[in-house]
Amino acid sequence: MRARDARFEEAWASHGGMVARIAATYEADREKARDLTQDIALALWRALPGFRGEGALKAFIARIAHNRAISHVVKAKGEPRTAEIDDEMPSTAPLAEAVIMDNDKRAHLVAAVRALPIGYAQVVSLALEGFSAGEIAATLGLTPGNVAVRMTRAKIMLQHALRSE
Amino acid sequence: MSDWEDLGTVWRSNEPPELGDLRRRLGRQGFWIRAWFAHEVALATATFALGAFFMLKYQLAMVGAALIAFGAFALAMSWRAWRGSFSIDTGTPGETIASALVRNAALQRYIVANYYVAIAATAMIGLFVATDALAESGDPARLHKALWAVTLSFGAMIVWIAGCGLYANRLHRERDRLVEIGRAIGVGEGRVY
Repeated sequence: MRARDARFEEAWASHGGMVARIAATYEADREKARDLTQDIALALWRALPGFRGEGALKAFIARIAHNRAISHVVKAKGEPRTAEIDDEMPSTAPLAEAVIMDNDKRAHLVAAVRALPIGYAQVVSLALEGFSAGEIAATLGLTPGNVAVRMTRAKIMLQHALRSE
Repeated sequence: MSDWEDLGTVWRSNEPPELGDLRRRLGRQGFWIRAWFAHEVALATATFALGAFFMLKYQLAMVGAALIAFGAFALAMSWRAWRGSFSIDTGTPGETIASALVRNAALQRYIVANYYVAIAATAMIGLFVATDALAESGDPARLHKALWAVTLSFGAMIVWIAGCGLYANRLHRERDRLVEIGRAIGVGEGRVY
């Protein structure tokens, strides 16, 4: 159990920031994003013993984070809420990351990424993490060509969104 | 795009977030899953026991068999849900959605099977009451026991069917949401390019 804890703490120290960013990409509400981050952390703690090193740990964690986030969105869509979750709608909710990081520039970027259609936001969030097109394709189960198409479109949308601010 | 690298630097400029007490969270989550499972198993076992009691004590074979069938069904469903409760999806998002849809479809099949079992059991019990009332109408004690057993069984079945109806509705909505999300991320029935 201790080895598992140590392994988890090491993984979290290296990639916990990425997990929080992925959670913020899917969830605009600050508290819910924190909750989702904890859910992902818990899933990671459970899944880590199954990681046999076939590929990078970072990609493994990104997969778990995206899967948990998708389950979260599926659940969130079934719950009553004050605003519709629209994949194309820019969020006006207070940004989780803005409070956590007190960083306006970063907060604008997170908001712009979150405003992208979910399929594009997934690709962009991983690209911003430094994953290559091949790694993104493998993580999301897409073809490299599909990743390239999404990236091109997402970059244009992102540029428009950031310029208009 | 050199801007892109700048964006990446800005994007990655947060620290790992502080985590709360994960062990407590894990314990709480595990507790609720186990409590729910224990509740389901207790209900199923009680249904089983009631069925066996009616069968052996009052010789109400049809009512007993119907209740035992329900108990078996509840146990099978609990076990299926239990098996999925602690699993972590480590595949792609598309695989996660696909496996959730498969699980959803399997549970819906159980629900449909339950409706058929319920209809058949209700018909059996009705038939039993009719034949018993006609054949043993001279024995008020026997008729009283049969009516008592039938009332209990019918009540339990109505509650059970209503619960299944709600559950089926929830499953159906969840399926719609899964398909919708799958479409949005470009997997399953629709693709985004």
